[in-house]
Amino acid sequence: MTRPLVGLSLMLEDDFLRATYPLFESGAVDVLEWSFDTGWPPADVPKWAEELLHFYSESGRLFGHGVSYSILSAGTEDLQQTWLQLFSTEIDRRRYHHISEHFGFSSRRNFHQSAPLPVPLTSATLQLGQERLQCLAQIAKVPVGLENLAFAFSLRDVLDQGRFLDELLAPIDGFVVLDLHNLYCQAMNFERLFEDLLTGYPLPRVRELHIAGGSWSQGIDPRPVRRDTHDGPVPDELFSLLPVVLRECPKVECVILERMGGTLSESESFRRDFFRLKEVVDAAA
Amino acid sequence: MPPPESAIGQIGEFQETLLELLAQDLSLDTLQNRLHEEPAFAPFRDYVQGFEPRMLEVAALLVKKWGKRSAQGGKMTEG
Repeated sequence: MTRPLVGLSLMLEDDFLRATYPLFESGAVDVLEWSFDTGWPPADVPKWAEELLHFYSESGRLFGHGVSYSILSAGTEDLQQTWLQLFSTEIDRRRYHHISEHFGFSSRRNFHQSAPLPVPLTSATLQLGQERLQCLAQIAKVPVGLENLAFAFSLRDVLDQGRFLDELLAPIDGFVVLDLHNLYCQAMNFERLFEDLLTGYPLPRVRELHIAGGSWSQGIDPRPVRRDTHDGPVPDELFSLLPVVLRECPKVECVILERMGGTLSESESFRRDFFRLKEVVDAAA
Repeated sequence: MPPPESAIGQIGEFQETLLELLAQDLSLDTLQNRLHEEPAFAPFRDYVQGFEPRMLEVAALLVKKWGKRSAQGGKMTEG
């Protein structure tokens, strides 16, 4: 396999800049992923972030990752149309290597945006998602993909997701962004082996990996729930599993380290994660 | 061929009602009762009956934390 590129997901907060500046300055960041719709008006994108986006766009190493298209929201066509119009402007403005979005629904008429939640796999939800992806692909004019979701209401959501993603993506020959921490959350929360869940995904479609840390949440039930909060170091288990995933997913082009802005008070540990990621990817390739 | 409007309407009602319930300060018992009682969930009864209580609690937490009702552009959320 060709050695996958290793990159970061761009955040706009000052602590992200402080933590990552030495990485960008030394040229260690191969690719940059940008959740472009977080930068749409009225958001304010700082000058340093604009310069990074320009540099990676011009270098052909900018990856787009939307957060608010909400491909499985039903009866919200006006919201999607507005999003697509802004997306069209985005595509004219910057050059993206490929574009991805999230599985699930995250918006409704009365909720402009929430965290993505799953929907049941039915012929209607499948058709709805396929149509939305067609609209996205027509404008993107580059490969389009979907990221697996961490949250599941039940084991049924967990076990259906690989097939759901495959069938959603088949008409556009789209790709999967396999988020290892999301899969880890599902393995922890539903007491399944990570490797077993992995085999349920369309691995030949995996073109990008995400890796991140998270946290535990506990309510009335004594069993805690693992959440994809992107606010801590990457679990050791994921670094151990990464070579397995890379072996099973021969078309992976890049691995992106994610960390929520505003949670980077310890820059050193974040940079350690980044260099450890590069070492593991180098060794696996 | 697009999915029938009736099916889209059912999914839309399901999603709308689910988000509204999760956004309220309901006890887990009340939330579960409403999931069984609300007509919007009837077409998805099998699916909803499988919801794990601890995951419902987390879903309510996610919607309260990340949900917003006005158009202010996208933002990063938990994935």
